[in-house]
Amino acid sequence: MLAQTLDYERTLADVAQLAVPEFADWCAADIVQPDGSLRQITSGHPDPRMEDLLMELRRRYRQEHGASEGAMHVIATGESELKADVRNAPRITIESGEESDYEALSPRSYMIVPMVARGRTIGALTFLSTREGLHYGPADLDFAHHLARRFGLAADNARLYNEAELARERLTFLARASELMAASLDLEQTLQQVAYLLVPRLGDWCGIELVDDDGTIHNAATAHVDPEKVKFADEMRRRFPVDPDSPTGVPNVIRTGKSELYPEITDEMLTAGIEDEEQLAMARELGLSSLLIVPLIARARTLGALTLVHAESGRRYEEEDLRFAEDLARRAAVAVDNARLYTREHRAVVTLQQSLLPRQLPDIPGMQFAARYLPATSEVDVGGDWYDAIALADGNVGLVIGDVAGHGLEAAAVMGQFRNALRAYALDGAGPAAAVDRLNRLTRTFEQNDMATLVYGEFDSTVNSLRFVRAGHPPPLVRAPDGTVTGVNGRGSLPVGVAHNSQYEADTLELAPNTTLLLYTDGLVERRGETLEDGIARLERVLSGAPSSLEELCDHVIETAAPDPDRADDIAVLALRPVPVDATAFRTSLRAEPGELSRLRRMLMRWLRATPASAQEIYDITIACGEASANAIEHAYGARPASFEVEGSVEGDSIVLRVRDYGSWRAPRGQHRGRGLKLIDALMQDVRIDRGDEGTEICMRRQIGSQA
Amino acid sequence: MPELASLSVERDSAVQIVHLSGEVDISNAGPLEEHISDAVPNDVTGLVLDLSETQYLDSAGIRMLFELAQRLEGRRQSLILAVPETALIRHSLIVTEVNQAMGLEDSVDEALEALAGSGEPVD
Repeated sequence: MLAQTLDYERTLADVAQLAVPEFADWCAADIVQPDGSLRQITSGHPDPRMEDLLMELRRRYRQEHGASEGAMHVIATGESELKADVRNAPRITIESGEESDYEALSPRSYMIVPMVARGRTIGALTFLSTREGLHYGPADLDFAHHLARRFGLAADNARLYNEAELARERLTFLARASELMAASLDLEQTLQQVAYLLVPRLGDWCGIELVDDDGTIHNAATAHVDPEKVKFADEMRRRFPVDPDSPTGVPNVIRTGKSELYPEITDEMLTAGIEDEEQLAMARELGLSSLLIVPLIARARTLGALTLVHAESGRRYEEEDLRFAEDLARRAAVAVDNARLYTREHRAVVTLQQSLLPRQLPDIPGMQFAARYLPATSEVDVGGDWYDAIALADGNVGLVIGDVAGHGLEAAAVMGQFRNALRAYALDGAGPAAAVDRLNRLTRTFEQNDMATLVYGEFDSTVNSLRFVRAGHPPPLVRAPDGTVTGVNGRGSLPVGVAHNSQYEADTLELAPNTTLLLYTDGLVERRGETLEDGIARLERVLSGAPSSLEELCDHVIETAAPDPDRADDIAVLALRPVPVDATAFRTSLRAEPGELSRLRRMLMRWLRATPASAQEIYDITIACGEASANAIEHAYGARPASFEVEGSVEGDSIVLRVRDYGSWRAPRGQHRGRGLKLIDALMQDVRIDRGDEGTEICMRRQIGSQA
Repeated sequence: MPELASLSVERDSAVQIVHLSGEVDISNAGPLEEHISDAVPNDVTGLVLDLSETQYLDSAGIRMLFELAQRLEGRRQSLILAVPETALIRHSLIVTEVNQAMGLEDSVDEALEALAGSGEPVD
């Protein structure tokens, strides 16, 4: 799961191959990686020996010249490099064994141009000529620049897409792991579940060790792709118990709280680390190839360690994997800690409370969500806080944070009522003010005087705007990408359930991409002997310095703003961050109902805004897509619940859209549908309608960047 | 379902002005046509339909305009659309020849002028 997606690889390979053989005999793309290193992808040379030589020469060239010339220099300065003739003056030392190969390769001329995307130099393209008579000149350099611009953007889009995909996949995975850990009262059973979840996705083998109160380390869970190996490892552990004073490995990670990463485990390492012959033989049989160990830390205490191992698969762990494992271990640690801290009774209220909270946050392109719920420490104080995130029919998302007055089982149950009622009003399309107003009126029918403070907002990602109502609740906080934090009071109104004639009005807040909205309950900001204002000011400071990953941000905010393990109140936190959408591809599947068209428009427009399309082009493409989709909906007429699919992609200078349905084709009826197709024809190019037995696909293209 | 579009109505002596804001598609074009038609009393010479705040109007919306024009014609009332030169919806109105069937002006004021210039109401 930590590998690059195929699309990204393919785009980069396309870039390198693009120019060969018309324009160059060999081409390399060097892409700057997040850690500053360069990743090189070449077009490949038909002769593998020549490819090896070229790679070796590049390596040596970098050794000899560093960043003073070549691709590294081009990337650093943004200035291109053109060598019209290098026949008699190779810029690299050619070693004696290589001379004949170098002769055969016969480099003649090369040029290197920067790849720029979104104002940033993301890499460089190197074009090499080994052909007689092909010496690059200024005109070639212009063309090379042109290629680099086009493919710089394509590569950058692919990278963004790749990152978004990976992040999404990881979040889903973490959410599942968190869910598992929150679900069970039995600690060891829970950890075993987590271990099963990790294998084989994150490793061929996973072990979790915990420290007991007396300092001994015991194995709490093991999972292996091959169950036989679990027995083998148990046997090994029994015969050679872990030495708690070992300077490396699990004991060291537990002692220091610092992770260990072994990207590659060699036999020398095993030999050096294990003295006992028999133990060495067993270790060899395990076939370890790569390994990482991360600490389980909660509230500054190391509770144990999580070990992930690659063996049979031969995969390697990298820094990125380590960070992901650390993130996961943080959550596991909280689960372990909670299990130790709370009694069974307490857990019963917590379990009820948690069962009433959303199991999953919505998966919406261009939005990140994270949420936490931490119950109060004493069972009489638990319950009543909630959060919710609701995907609305119009493509917007509804966000809720709330706090029911009172504690215990009753408050948890009342919370469930509030939550469901507000969900229903939100899904009905009431809008923030009316939804909260209805909720307030509903409380009059409750048997007791139940009341709640809450913030309810609806975020429209097409215009980056949040409409929200704050009913007696602490103000949401907004963190700009530069770390600036502002509290958002809005006009504010009474909590629901206080007065039947309370007025609720919505305020508007702009939420640009990459800003973070934090909703929280007062448990996060209230401390004895301190005013609420002081607490909020403290949270603002904490939020300002929090890590940028949304999940880590939530952890940080809770650990720093409310570090006391003895919580007198629940804490609920919900964070939303609009993020740039994937600019290369769009894909969605919708129900064949007219009501879905507006949701589709919003998603499509948001995607199109991330492409270079102009406002008029975005509108025209959206109209054409709407017409094709209306057609698809009409085809589904009378059929069982049907769906249709819309796919969009950026191909060169064009946006290509495909709308596919599984109904039966019907000729356009009357002037009206005819007008729809006419619109498509007028607004798009290369419109193709394929009618098959399975359904109909309308494929169309729109050139962008030149005003049609 | 939330409302995609909303209407507001005002009167300028003998002309009714309806401002249509939001989005029009197959899910709401039918009811909107009824509402707009109902909003035009018999004693006005015509309707200025202000689309300057209309963000989206597809072929269902265009059909609505044609049918509205036809209805009003039956009542001897004219329909003029106010669509700013820069509005994104303008291009699709022209390719579907909406401007052949009804007046298309850049603003409500120009639409009112065009209506005033078209002469006295026919009894």
